[in-house]
Amino acid sequence: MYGILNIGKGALATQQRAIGVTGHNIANANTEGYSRQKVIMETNPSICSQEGQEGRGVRAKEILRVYDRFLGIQINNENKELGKWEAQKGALENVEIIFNEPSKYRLQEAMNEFWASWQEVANNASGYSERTVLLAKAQRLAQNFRAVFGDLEEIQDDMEQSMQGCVEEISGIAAQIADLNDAIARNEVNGRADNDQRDRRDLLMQELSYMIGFTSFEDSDGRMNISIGQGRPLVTGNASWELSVKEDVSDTQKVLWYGSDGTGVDITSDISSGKLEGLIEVRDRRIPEYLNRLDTLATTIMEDVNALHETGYGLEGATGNAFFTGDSASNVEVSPQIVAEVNKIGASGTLEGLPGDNTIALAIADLQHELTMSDDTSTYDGYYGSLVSDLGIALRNAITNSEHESEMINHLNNSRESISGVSLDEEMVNLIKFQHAYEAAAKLIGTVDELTETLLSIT
Amino acid sequence: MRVTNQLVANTVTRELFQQTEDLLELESKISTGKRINKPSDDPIGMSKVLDYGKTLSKIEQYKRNISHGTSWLNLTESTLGTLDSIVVNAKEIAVYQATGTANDADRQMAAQEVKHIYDQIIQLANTKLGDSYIFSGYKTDAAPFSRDENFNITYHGDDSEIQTKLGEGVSMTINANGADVFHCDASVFDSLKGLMEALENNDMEMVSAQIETLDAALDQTLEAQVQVGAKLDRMTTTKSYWDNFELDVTEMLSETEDADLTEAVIKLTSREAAYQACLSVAAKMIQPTLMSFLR
Repeated sequence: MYGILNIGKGALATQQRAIGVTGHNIANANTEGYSRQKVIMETNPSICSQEGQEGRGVRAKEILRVYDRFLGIQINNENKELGKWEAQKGALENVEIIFNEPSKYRLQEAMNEFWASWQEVANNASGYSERTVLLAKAQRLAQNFRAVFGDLEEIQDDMEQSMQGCVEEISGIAAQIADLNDAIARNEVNGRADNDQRDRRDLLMQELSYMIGFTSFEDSDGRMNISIGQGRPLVTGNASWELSVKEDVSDTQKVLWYGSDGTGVDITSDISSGKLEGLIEVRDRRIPEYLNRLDTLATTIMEDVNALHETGYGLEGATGNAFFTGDSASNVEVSPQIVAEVNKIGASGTLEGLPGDNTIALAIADLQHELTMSDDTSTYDGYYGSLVSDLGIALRNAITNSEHESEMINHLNNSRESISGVSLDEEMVNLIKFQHAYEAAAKLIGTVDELTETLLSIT
Repeated sequence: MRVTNQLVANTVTRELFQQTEDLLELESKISTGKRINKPSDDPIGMSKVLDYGKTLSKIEQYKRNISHGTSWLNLTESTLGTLDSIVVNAKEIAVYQATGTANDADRQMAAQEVKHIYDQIIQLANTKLGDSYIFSGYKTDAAPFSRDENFNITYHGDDSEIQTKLGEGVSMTINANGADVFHCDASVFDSLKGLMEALENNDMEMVSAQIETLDAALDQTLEAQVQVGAKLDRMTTTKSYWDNFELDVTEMLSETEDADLTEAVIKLTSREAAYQACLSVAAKMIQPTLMSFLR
């Protein structure tokens, strides 16, 4: 009799436990990173009796977290690529906006109009208004170069901020994972899985993978060890390491990892994925390349025009004047002498030929067709065109890749959701199921109670 | 496959975003009328667009140069035409005065007329287009011809050729050299001076001799006119060439860059319908749960 009571008691407790877990699932139906849990019920060890092995009822063996570990690893692998491509896409989109082609307001048009205005001066070599227009177009060209250069440098500064934020987040997540490692290890000492904290840790690792690629393994105590770059530890057991970004002499950013002795080690070239890598790629490899090419274009135009202009004669016989001053796209300007006195613009090839001689103006206008760029294989326009084209291709690449990764992750997430997600319909059914079992178990106890009363009433 | 509430919610949301993103892109194409609004839309296409734009800009400048050259040449041509008729006039005087019907008094009056003609021609030779003297070579700020009281002529210009660009690597000289036209081998000024003196000296033979020199001057003028005419022809032809080329390039630019509006609008309409359908299905999927049916 007593045994049956125990069976009833065990049943009540187990079903009640199951209802509790169902409640937990329902409550966390929308919690990010939550994996549904279920009670694994098993029969109590049976006892030997005359008729054979006698069942002793049910007990809750464990609360199982329904989770596919392999999927989690796959998602993190794709996530680090997504982080990298999305970072590149965002940054390159900003760069594209700066170039603002095709439009009437940017470099290509400014160059077109500059060369055209030299031809207008050639058509009226003694004219004042043509020279004034040329000055205006030249200043606009110079200003465009400076603006594009300056805007690109500004993007680099903004990206520096992003990298700073990124690295702080990485260090922060690493610290949190270390804390969770500690908590999980302690709570699992008795052999029971700490499901909710593991969920939280997995979520943090997913966030980390977006920022930076890593490898991880779990040790026998349940602690997750994470390493980045070429095997530098980020989290080991309860301890975490830090990262920071510093600017070095060549104006590039270095990512530093701090070892246990406190010194920073440059791991920039070891990082190959994640948002951090995407930012580094654009800030310190692509943008400097674009700046370089802008510089080359601007300085070549300046040098070529100046070389001709210095042999030209202005309206009052002035000669030997440079047209442009500066040594880079960032500081190109029309010479202040010309700005002050447009008649100094040297359109004429000879002193005697003034004022009708327009040979220098014609020669400068002709520069547009000369192959002076890229080891004499390309015109200015060709060079600029390929710069814009390369930018477009890089961005298109980043967009395509990030869209691809996004889809991959979507599929993987759907799979994970299908396995680990909470279905409210399912929980409803379970609720009813456990409730009925609970009611039946209570009925069992009630029946045993009546049996006992019957027994007692015999005397 | 287990389908959970999150799964449904995520999928529905993602599909809706996909639809609206497509709609937005189509809307942008239609409102700008262009398929390529930024380099990343089509990097190769963008490179062509920049190229065509640059070509069109060059063509525009060549046409402006042609227009400038044409005005210069036109003025030269009409000036030479006037010169022609004046010199013919002078020749007629010479012819009449070389006959016996004219007497000394006639010849004195004719000499005065010839002096006026001389000055008229100086004025013609000093024609300006805007601020520039057209017969002065590079010395466009100085009047090419002037005379002293003895009707000796001096040329102040030079013999340079003013060029303008008609195309890549193609230039043309647009000015006629004053010395060549007025005062070279067959100088009209020298002829007139000779005629003047002959008339004043009542020298019928000398007057007769000047008829030949005047003829030579007329031939020179004619030659100059022919050259100007040929250049004007070439200008016209070149302009037509550029006009046609411009049309072709504009068409190519349009083909590369423009959105096919009809196609875009049709796509937009069908996308909108798809979006509506998506919304209605989404509404049906995310609402019912078992709970509404229990008890």
